[in-house]
Amino acid sequence: MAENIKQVTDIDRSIYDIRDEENDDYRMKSGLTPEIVERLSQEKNDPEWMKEFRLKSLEIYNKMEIPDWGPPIDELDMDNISTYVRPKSDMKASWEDVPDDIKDTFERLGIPQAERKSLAGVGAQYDSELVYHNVKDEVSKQGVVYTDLESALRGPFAELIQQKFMQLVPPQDHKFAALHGAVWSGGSFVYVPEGVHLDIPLQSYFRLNAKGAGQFEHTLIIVEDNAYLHFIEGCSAPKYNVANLHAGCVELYVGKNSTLRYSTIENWSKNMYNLNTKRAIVEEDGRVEWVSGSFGSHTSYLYPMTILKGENSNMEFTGITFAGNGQNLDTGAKVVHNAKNTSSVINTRSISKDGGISTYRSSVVINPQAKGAKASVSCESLMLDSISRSDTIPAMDIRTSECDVGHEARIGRISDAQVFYLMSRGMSEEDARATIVSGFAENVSKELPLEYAVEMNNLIRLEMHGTF
Amino acid sequence: MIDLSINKVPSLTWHFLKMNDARIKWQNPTGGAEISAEGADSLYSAETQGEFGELSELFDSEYSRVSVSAKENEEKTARVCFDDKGESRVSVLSINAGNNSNLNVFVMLSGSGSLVLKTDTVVGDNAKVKIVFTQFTDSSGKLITDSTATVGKNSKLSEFRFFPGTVGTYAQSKVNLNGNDSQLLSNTAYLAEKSQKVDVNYVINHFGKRTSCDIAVNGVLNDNASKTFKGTIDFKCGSSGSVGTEVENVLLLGDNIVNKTLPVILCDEEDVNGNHGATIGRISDETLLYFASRGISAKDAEKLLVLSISDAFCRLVDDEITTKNIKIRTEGEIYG
Repeated sequence: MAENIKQVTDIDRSIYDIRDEENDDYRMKSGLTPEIVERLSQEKNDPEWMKEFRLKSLEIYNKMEIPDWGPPIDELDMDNISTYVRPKSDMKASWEDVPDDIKDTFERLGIPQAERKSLAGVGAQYDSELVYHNVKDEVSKQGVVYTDLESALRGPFAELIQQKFMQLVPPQDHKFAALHGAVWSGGSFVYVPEGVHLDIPLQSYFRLNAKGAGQFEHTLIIVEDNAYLHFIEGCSAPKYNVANLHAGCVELYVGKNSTLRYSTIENWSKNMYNLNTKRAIVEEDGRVEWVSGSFGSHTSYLYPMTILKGENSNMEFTGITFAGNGQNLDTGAKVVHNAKNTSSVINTRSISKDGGISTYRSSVVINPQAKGAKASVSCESLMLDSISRSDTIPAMDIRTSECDVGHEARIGRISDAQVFYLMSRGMSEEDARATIVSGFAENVSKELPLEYAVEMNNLIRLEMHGTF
Repeated sequence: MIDLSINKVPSLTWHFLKMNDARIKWQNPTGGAEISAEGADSLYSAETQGEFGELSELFDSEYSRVSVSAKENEEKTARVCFDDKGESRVSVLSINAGNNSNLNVFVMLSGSGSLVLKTDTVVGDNAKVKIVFTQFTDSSGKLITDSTATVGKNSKLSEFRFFPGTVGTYAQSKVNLNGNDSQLLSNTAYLAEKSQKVDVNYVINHFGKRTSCDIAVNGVLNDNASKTFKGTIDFKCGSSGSVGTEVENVLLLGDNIVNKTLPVILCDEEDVNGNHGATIGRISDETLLYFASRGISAKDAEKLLVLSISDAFCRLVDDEITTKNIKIRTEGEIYG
């Protein structure tokens, strides 16, 4: 009994693998040159500073090396990636106005239903452009701005955006941050004024339909003092036999005594290189909560980072990663404690099966001025078969004695004793293993905002009907 | 001076953390360390000079070498002392334990210069080997120990390291648990103050079935001392039934300390169990209250807790001579 191999079946991807016929309005030729970047800037009608920013970022990109510490990305050839694909639709404020083929895809993914049920606003990006954006009136009346970043660049927040854009994630940060700086398009801008408590979430959904294309959306969220926001991000793409690339960027500014909860359900197709960068800076008494589910992609580099700038600021990161056949998912979190009495909690689970590779990677940095800091890291990994791989690489760099840091990591398989215990209470072996896996994931999955999008239900429903 | 890149981790992480290796400058060696030994099989020393770029090149030249071995079924204890005589010296220690043997090797490292010691250990089947490294170099000295070991089936290797603090102490240990049911017990204690540095890199490769490793690293950082602990437990494919644990406790006393920790578990086998736990921080208020209620000041409580780390180490080593030497060193430093 004990040595039998259990099996967790793959997530049902059929709804995500719907491919629309490529019927683009415009597709940039593949590759990455100054001419392409200038053309993109022209397409986006950028202000002059943004055009210069893009070209400078491209220079930085060309000078930087590919990381030598993560999963291999040798097969990603930028000469074969189109950095901009414009769908045949400009941005609509009414769902009815979105072209039928695009609308059908999003409807199958459950996005409009989610909006009708329980969202304050929804944005939907298709390839390189937002095709739909809408915010409920009562939310707008509170002064909340939720719009596409490109419109915002030309609106009343233009100056603020220029001050904040890629300041948290500068192009020098790493090669794919530089790439993002050069070719970003699409994405959202959210502004929550002081004192506004948004009880219901905003959601952005990113869909990459074009074969051999990249998606480089930029999300910039500013939550002023004494405010609250829950932002949900979902991503998916159909599977092609050539590489697709996602190198988005998320910058979050959390004001004093404010809370921002940022939830992500990532379910890119298994030909996707997901090289995304997310970063938050938190002021005094502020809080950022990251909830991250990584299920898709061929290769992922994903480590949301938090800078605890203000005294008593804190962060919590909750993540789950599921690596199946052909996937190499390198995920985790980073936190920097820069002020007194800051605290952080990182809690992750990862599951590997069918030859999937899951790596948990993190860094906790406590700087000398962060007296009274507290940090806790817990990472657990479950191996579901002998052909998979699971690694944990957590780092801590502590530079003050006035702190408390705890760390625990565990890698293992399903315990025979646990299976035996459940079987002794009348469960079949199959059900016992299913219960244990569900229990393993529950700590994290219960934090996922399942009620907001039908898609998420499919992602974490691990069908445990296996063969023994 | 030689530029050395040592203590490299097998699985890289972000370079900004500066933990993937230790880059140091090292005085060109002038010869082998002076060796005195009891129970050794052979001694060899020569004086040679050369230019070196990598640590491995240092060992290509035969400076001084000592071998300790136990024949099949033999029980043996050896004591070896390496002294750098205030210069830059390089030595090699070979340890070979035959099947069913029981070998204890006590290694004392002294001097005030720059000492490099490479240790190669082979543990046969059903054997027990205990190696105790105690550093008694002057606080101005520098030390590199680079150990490799292979452990046969149903055997146990115990490695103990005591580093009471010097300008720079760098220790690397790579252990291959090749045999089924082989075991490693690794215990390290360190005390670092002022601007002293300790950099420890352990890599345990589990190849055999039902292998186990138990790594403990305990220490104190005071003033602006810095410590890096990198511990990698690597469960290779086929090491089913294996267990690996690494535990770290760091007592932080100084205001300007740097404490870096990189505990890595690599897992290419389903049926294994790997654990890591770390507790890093100052003395808790509850502990200080406990001491205060017994009339012990915070300063004395600190001293007692520091001593408790070396005392715990001595109990594990269970050797009268080592215990006496450690007590002289630590109590002398702590109580001035």
